[in-house]
Amino acid sequence: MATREAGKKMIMLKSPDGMEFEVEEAVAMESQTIRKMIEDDCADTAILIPNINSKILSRVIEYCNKHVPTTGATGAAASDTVAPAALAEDLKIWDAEFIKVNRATRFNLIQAASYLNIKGLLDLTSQTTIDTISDNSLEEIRSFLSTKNDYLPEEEQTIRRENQWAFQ
Amino acid sequence: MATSKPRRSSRTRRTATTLAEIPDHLVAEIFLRLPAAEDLVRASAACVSFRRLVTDKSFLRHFRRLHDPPLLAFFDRNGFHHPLPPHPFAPAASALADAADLSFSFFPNHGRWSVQDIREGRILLLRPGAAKQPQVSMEAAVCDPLHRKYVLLPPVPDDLAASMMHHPATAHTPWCEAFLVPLDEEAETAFGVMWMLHFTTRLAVFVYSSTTRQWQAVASKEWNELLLGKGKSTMVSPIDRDFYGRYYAYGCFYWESTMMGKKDLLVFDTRRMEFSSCDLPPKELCPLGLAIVEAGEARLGLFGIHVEAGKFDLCYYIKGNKCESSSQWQLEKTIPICSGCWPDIKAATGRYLLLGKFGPMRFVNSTAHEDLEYISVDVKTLQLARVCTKSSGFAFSKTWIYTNFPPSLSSPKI
Repeated sequence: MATREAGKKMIMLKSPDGMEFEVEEAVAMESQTIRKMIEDDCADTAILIPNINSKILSRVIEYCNKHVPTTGATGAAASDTVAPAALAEDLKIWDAEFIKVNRATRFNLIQAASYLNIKGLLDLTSQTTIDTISDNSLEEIRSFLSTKNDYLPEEEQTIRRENQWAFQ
Repeated sequence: MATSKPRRSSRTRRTATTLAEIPDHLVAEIFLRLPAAEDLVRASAACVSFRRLVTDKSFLRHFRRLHDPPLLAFFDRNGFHHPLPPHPFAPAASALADAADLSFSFFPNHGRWSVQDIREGRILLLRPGAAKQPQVSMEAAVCDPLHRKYVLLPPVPDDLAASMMHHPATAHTPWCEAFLVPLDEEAETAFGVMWMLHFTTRLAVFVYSSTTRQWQAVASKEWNELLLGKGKSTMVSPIDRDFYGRYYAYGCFYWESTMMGKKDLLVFDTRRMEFSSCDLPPKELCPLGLAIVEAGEARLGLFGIHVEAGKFDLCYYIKGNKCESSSQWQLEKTIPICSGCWPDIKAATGRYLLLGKFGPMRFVNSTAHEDLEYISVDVKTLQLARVCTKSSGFAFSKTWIYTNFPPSLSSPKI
């Protein structure tokens, strides 16, 4: 993990439950939403991130820390010794571990990734949901998404009949 | 699981724990990433709010823009043929067969029209009358058999046709081809039709746009200005009227020259309305026909069939970037197809390749029969799948691939 170096600009992120996180500006700018705030000079002291509690925000920061492109002296040294393909592979393994969270956390992460506009995190968090819909039956999909079947029985029958090809 | 419970409004909680409680725009964002049309339909059957979202017109338009429609049929002299199980598109193809009118009975005098081209769910028809070959003077129509819609095209205006035909240097009649052109527009009902006139010394093109409802003469080029005529002045069109292949990728059409020793492709850019040429990989690498496809990231892909010691391979090449001379064709993958059989590239769209493969010869009442097996290749995944098998009666008939979204997700094309 990168240590804090002189000259690196730090900014403060605040969650609505009162927690404060000091992060490198480059890390925070993985979020396009925060990047825009910084570039528009709307973020002198601290940025309040609404709707994202400290538990979720800390996970988002953890993700951005890992995914921020390494630059400067330490970054150059790292890419000299480690091939880009190996780095990508390492990130993939890290991502797979990162996303091993319960359903509620994942859905909260999806919302946070969307609000903060972090494409990589949104891709990662959505993928499990997508895989579940692709690979499973309707009943399994409902159970995974904790979705209540609020169709009337005859409505569901009609949908199944009209779209029979999708249920084969 | 069907229950007889009455509808419940979803409970509100402080933090979202189910997808149904996530705001609609986020659910939409996740659903847009679903890889296949059937996934979307199944997700929509989970609950009422998902259904409402998935049947929303602007959502569906967005989904269609992000996905390639599946291969639901191909057409040849015998008519339409659909992928059969266990082909992954077989269920959607049978839904199409049930919903569409592929005999064009909604069309006036449908028996007198002949299919000239198929693209993006539209079919271009000509009314040839007694003539054997397509002529600019023929009546033309475009139809959408799934939504039973059609439009008759106005004829190419006489003065426009005359301006191209009576060029001082050409005293002979050209051979013509008519085909559908994608229009780079927002409207899903917009299309173009192109007439290409192959004179012995030059090419000329008329384009019809469904937006302006008018024909335009857009380009004309001497063969010897194109690389295909490099070195000497060509007096013969390098594109054979009976054996040419025409492919479309990223806004450009590509024709394979059928002249021996030529290794250029003729290119027509539909956005700039310009002819040019593009080099091929060495002829010995794809001696048995080729097809141009979309390799992703605006790169051209090329499939060629290669034979060695009776073993047939499908070779896939990718070209660096568009038609720049600096970028070379690189062999991406070699896929073994068969040994002893005789494979043939039947048709291609940007996303799919259709191969025909002859089975072993068998004798019925001392008459030789050979089955023709059709195989689809998904250009993105390079997965091969058997489409169907039929008797090889019209093995060499011209073939077109029909792609479209399954009925409930598709939109009228006209």
